[in-house]
Amino acid sequence: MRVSVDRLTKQFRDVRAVADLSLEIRDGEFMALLGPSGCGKTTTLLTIAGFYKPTSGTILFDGRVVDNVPPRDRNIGMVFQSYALYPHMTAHDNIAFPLKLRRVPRQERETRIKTVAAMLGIEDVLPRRPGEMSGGQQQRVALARALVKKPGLLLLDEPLSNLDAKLRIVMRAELKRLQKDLGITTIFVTHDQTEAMTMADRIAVQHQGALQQVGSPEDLYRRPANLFVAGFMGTPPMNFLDVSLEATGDALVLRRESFRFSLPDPLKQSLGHLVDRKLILGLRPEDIEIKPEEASQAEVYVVEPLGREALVTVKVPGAMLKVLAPPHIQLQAGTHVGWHVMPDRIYLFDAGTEEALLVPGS
Amino acid sequence: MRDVLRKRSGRGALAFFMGPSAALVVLFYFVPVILTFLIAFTSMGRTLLWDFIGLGNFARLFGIGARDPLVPRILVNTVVFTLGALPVTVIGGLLISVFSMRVRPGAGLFFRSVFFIPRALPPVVWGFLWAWSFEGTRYGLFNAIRSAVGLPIVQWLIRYPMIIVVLANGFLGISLAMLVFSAAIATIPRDLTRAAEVDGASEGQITRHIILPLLRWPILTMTAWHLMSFLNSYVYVMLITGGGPYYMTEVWSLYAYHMAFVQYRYGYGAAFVVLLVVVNVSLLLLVLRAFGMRRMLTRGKIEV
Ligand SMILES: Nc1ncnc2c1ncn2[C@@H]1O[C@H](COP(=O)(O)OP(=O)(O)OP(=O)(O)O)[C@@H](O)[C@H]1O
Ligand SMILES: [Mg+2]
Repeated sequence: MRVSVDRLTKQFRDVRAVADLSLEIRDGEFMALLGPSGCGKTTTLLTIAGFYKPTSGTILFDGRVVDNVPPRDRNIGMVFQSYALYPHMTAHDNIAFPLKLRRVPRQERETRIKTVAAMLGIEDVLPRRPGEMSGGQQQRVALARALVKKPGLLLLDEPLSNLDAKLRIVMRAELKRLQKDLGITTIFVTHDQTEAMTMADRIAVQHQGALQQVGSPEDLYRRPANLFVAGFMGTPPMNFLDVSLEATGDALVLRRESFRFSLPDPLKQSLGHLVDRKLILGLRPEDIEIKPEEASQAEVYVVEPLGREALVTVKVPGAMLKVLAPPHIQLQAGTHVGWHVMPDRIYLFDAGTEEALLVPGS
Repeated sequence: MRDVLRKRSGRGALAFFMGPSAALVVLFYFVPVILTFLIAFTSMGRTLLWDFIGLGNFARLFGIGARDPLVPRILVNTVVFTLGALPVTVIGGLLISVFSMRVRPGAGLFFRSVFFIPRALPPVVWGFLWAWSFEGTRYGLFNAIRSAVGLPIVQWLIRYPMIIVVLANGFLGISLAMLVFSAAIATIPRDLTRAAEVDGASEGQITRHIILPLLRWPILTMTAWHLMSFLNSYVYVMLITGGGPYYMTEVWSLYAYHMAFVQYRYGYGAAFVVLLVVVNVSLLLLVLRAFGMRRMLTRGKIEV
């Protein structure tokens, strides 16, 4: 099923939860709706499901306006953040519930329950009630209940957030695989950028109700449209430094207190018109190289070994930089380090509008 | 920490905090009950003499030897009254709660307030309201309306006395039942009913398959509560029909009252009360046994 969200706005009294959101979700696509807490993700999802009426704008399923179709007639499957399993019914009856309401004959019902239970590996818990299941089992049962009616659209509201870290990684992969196998159009709400990056075909980043950018995970990571997206995508997040662009003689220099960064020739041309503007320099932790250097003003603040690499916080005049360093690097708090960035790895943003002015590879 | 506190203050604290209320319960509950039990074995009348006559009162009550011809009728009245008012209260309370919480949440507060008014009124006023509404002359509310549109007046309290006292008591019970059910419905997570809606349930199906099963405990509690409450109730019957016409609405405890305080047959009246207390205690034990006392006292409102 193809879903079009057209200039959707949802206003609750004094809160504008969703602001002028337009989004096109292709048939069979896995779309992640990503944003920080309170940015309107759930509201968007509930509006698509039909629980809220749009304040303005429309929602179309396969080109058909559904604004007046109640949730029960939208042919959607939904997994709630709380799972919302019926506490007085066994897992089996939970999954059977939508089929019973549709008067699916008993025989077919049982077959379908068996199939979906096998697919999700929950045959064992079918006779149990939600209170007697682990979080991961509840999540699978909720998913089974959503899938058993073969919906045209699957809506998932942070379905992994109640699971422990290990199970979350397992379920991430399983859910992705399942979605691809079944080919159901899926909207997946999350505030976890890793989840969005790893699972989704495309990600829509939302901030304070407004859509920031839509694109493939790669797109958002490599070519963020603005400061918010750049800061949201990637862990650890991008470093930001307030800088100004100055022309000294023939050279273009990014300057911040004692720090100077001369732009190489190709960039000089494209950024010439930005001289004297206030800019924000973005540097990904993995793009910064550090090595001990006595004379440097930068000094190591803390080292956090992550196994595969080490996350080093470097104190530079007026700011802290997060740097991903090779694990074997011999650094300690207090070591003076020099730091270095390849000119083709830098991001620049307008300090006023926060729009991206320069991203690597452009 | 807890254990230390418990050990140190232990008995003394228990006596200090529980003492006064325990004393009150003994003084105002157990003492009267014991006195009543004793009186039931006497022929005490207007003269207040303690003449013990063994099981005489009970023999009469059960129709052994000199029988009381009114007892069977009163028994039937009590059963009809209790079993009539119970569904009015429980089903009425459920209907209003579901309607005001789910169907028309906007009008909910208004609705619940209206049905709470009876509880806020002094019993005499509530009784008088019913008596006045169904007054048999053209000054009664319904008869006034009927005369105004040219219909003949109806002797409501003579033609439908039982229905009227059942409704008066049932409606009064609704206030508490509705309050308990509404509170329980309010604790049902929003996502649950939303999930049911996505699953294809209509509002009626949501109520039947989700809301009502989750209200199981509140419903059982309210049923048990009001069963005992109606079994012992006589105030409104007394205020509205006085038990009449000719004992048609005379219920057990009202008869006990009439025997003791109108006919001054204290001994005989006490025998009725003793029997009622026995029935009450048996019912209570039965209820606690069926529900499990622990569960009833510790369970949350709904099972989630
Ligand atoms: N029913 C409602 N009435 C009033 N305000 C609401 C309602 N639902 C949500 N809001 C407000 O709208 C904004 C967006 O809420 P929403 O639940 O959509 O956020 P979210 O992105 O899902 O957040 P989270 O990640 O914490 O779940 C919040 O400011 C919230 O307080
Ligand atoms: Mg949410």
